[in-house]
Amino acid sequence: MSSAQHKKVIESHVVAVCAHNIDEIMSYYDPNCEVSFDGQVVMRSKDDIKSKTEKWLLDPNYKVEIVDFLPVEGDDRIQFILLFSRQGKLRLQKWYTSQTDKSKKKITREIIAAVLSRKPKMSSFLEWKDLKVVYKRYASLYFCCAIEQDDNELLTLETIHRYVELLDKYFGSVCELDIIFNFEKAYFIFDEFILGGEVQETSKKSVLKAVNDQDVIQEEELEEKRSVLEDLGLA
Amino acid sequence: MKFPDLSMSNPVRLRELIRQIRSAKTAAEERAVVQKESAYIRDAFRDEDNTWRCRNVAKLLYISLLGYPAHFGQLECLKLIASTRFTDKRIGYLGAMLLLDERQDIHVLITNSLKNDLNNSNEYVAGLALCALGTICSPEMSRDLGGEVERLMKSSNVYLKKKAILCAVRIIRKVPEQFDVFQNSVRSLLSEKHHGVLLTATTLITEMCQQNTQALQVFRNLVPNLVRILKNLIMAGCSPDHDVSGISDPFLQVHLLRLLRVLSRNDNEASDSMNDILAQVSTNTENSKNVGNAILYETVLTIMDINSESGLRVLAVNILGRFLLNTDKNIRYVALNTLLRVVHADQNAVQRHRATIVECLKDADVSIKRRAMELCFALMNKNNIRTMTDEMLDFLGTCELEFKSDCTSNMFLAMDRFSPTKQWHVDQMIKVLTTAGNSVRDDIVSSLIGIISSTPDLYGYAAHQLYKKMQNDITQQPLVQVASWTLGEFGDLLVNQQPQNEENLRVVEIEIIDILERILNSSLSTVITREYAINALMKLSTRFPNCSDRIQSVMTYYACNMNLELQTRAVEYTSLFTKHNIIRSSIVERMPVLISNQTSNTNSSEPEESIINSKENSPVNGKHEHVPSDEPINLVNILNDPIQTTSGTLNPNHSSSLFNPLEDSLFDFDTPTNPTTKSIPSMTAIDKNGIRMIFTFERDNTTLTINSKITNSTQYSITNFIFKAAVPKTFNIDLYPASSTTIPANNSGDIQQIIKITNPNREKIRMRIKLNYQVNNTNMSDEAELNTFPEQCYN
Repeated sequence: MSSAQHKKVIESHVVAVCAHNIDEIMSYYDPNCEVSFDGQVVMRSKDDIKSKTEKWLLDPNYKVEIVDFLPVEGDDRIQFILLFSRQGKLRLQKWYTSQTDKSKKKITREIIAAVLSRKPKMSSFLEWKDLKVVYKRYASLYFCCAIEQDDNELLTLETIHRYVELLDKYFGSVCELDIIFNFEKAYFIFDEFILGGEVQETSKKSVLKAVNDQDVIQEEELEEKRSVLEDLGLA
Repeated sequence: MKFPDLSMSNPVRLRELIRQIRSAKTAAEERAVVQKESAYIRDAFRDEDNTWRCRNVAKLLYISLLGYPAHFGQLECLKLIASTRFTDKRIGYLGAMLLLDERQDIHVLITNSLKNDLNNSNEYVAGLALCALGTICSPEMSRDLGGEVERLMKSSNVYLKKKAILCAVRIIRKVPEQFDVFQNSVRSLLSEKHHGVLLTATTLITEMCQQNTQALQVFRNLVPNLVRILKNLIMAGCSPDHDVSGISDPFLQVHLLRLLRVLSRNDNEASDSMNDILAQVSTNTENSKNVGNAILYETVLTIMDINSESGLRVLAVNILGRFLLNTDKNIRYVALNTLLRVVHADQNAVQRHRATIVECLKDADVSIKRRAMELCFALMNKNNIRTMTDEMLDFLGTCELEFKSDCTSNMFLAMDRFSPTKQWHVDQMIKVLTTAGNSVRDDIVSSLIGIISSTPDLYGYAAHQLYKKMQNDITQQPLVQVASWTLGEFGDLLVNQQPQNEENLRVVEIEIIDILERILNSSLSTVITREYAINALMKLSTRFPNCSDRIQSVMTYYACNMNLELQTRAVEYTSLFTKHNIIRSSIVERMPVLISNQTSNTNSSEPEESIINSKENSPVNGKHEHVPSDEPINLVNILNDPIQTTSGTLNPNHSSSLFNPLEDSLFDFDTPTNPTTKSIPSMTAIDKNGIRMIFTFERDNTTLTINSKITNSTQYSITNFIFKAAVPKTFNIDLYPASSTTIPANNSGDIQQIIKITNPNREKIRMRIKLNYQVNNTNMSDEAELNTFPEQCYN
């Protein structure tokens, strides 16, 4: 059940739930909602609800009313990001929520189809299930971020743009082929800019310095390896 | 720029593989290349080839991006991470983030390597570990590594510090108890100057406040600091590295505004202290580019969400009004979305932008259209219902199919609440039905029938209007259903009272019968529509005695129809023509006024409702309505029809909103409403999938005690039985625990549960119930809406 549907159900009905069945309450629990019991206690996590209701559960006549679901404040946390070409070929993907391979593929397929079918004059936002997909096309590549419904879409567009700027600076006027042949670099840049779905660094210089410094370490190691191999007469 | 190459020599370098795959001309060719390479990589992994492991994993990552299986590389990633070479680690962590997550048990094996790397003296090695932790950290890892992350959060190295802070966000999301670990190191973070640290710290504090109300109280005194940081940020000179088109670090600004909102929601003092800065941001932010609007948008959200000054709120709604006029679709979308969130708090302020919002209904973008539609419905009221209905009808005519059913349902609700006259209401609803065609929800049909039924003045008029529509087109099922019902009930009025000012030809009986027969026979009609039609014909057999023979022959013909419902009805009706002709006229007597759910929902406070009720119950009008109520008992005996006994009681197999045409006039009175008996008749709440739930009632003034008895006729016993019930807000419900959660099979026992309902207003009781249970280890669930409680329960 989506949190919006959820709230709707609760708003129109006062739901009485038999108290001896805490697991039932748990099935009502939506990780995107805060729950307030008895109108006072606001709880966020499952464990929290469990511990706080336990003492009431001993009373056989107790009734638990779920009186309110407050939406949790959105953050700019990106749920996942996809880069794909106009032909629908995936170029980069990064997931911050745990998904099975099968569902990743399914989501990717559906989102690519939905975004590609949008007309050029449409907005950059696509409501997709519980999520909002913010996408922008740069030349032949679509950059596409899935965020939660309450997040700031306009800022997500800026995040995408900043990433494109970073790629551009690193590769020197980036094109799709750069990202195909150096996909790992594109990942490295992304990981210095975003961590766990949140922006970690707003300075372009700092991001690029971190990536370049690490490239230098790699290069040094490569030289070393080459010389070892040369010594062994392999190169 | 030159790139260090990961691969060195034979067999195939990474870039070479990519080239090969790209040069494949067909999908089959590509598959062949990938399969050959996968097989080679597998072999190399099996041989524990250390030299090329890094390159092989990199190749595998590319292959996995194309959608080919790569799970066999998971363990190799762990080996790379454990290596001492930086190149290995870098690719190893990348692979781990892409191929591993908490679903695979193997991911815990990474914990030890992570711990070592977090303590590595090289900041980039520790940075890689933090990045991986922030991406794939599981609850177990959160517990094991919380301490390391906290230590790095206090590091003087900002590169590690900001990463550690975001890891902490992930950790407390996964395991809220870890909150205590980070609690004390947070506060000092805000005194940093580094943007990355400030940004991530804001994110962490926001997360903490959302999780924990105590933290919210504690952090509330940070408001002045945050206001100062925001102020300095705006005043600060240009810093091209962080800025976006001349606006200082928008990422940080938005995060600060959001944290301020979280901290001062429902707090007057905190709200007051940020009025100035919010006003400053909303007036000074340059709005020609997306980035400025991103900040304005966040500011509006904050203003509307906290206890801000009224002047500020007007300013905020005006910003949204400006957004609506923006040429950028994204901005318009955001504006509609936000207006929708604030419309209930500031109706009038939003109302001023109505014309612009209506314009957005014509937008090419479906997301914008949908928001505009929702907003239009939120803005409908008594004063603008006429113009808005016209606008929405235009919209309904042109919009995509996906909008139609939502749009009609909402129009119906709005008209139900605000329609100025009943006639207008019926007219508009007929228009809605003709415009929306077949994408109308079932409940609209029954609700419209309810409205017509509750307005005796309009019987003839409605029949006439609907008849006219049907002459042109009988393919629009919902319209045809309403029309069939109306013609069946009031066909005689249609023939007798022709509207004066219509120059149309008189409608004659035979024409009505013709059209209903056409509907019944049409291959385009759905079964439900045909049920409506056959019922209507039956009713007309007494209203139009001259056509009685013809109708009887239709019934005889349908008595062997392939559709069971139609056949059953036809057989019953045929026997009414023959064996039981005497009672036929009283059985198909005009129906009592229907009370639709929707009407009682929205109009409960309005006088119309009470009129309907009093009409139904007053002895004068009651006379002809009560005639049929004596009949059903006989009817059950006469017709000897097994289906009927179940269809008379409430039958939850039909969706709650679906108005079953075959139950309407005949079987609505199955529960005898004899006023002399004191006891309240029992009621079958649900009888489905072998589970039968019987309600018996005891009433004490406004308190109704329901004893429910649940039996199980299946051959399996039912376990984990849970009964849930919900009632509208005007009632109060107490659900006592059930005597057991297991119901033995084959009706060999029952369980009982007491439900207490307090009904201070003595309203008609409505209840929604839900059953969850397990049969034979499969989870089952049933739902039903109960609105046929015996009248004695509440009146």
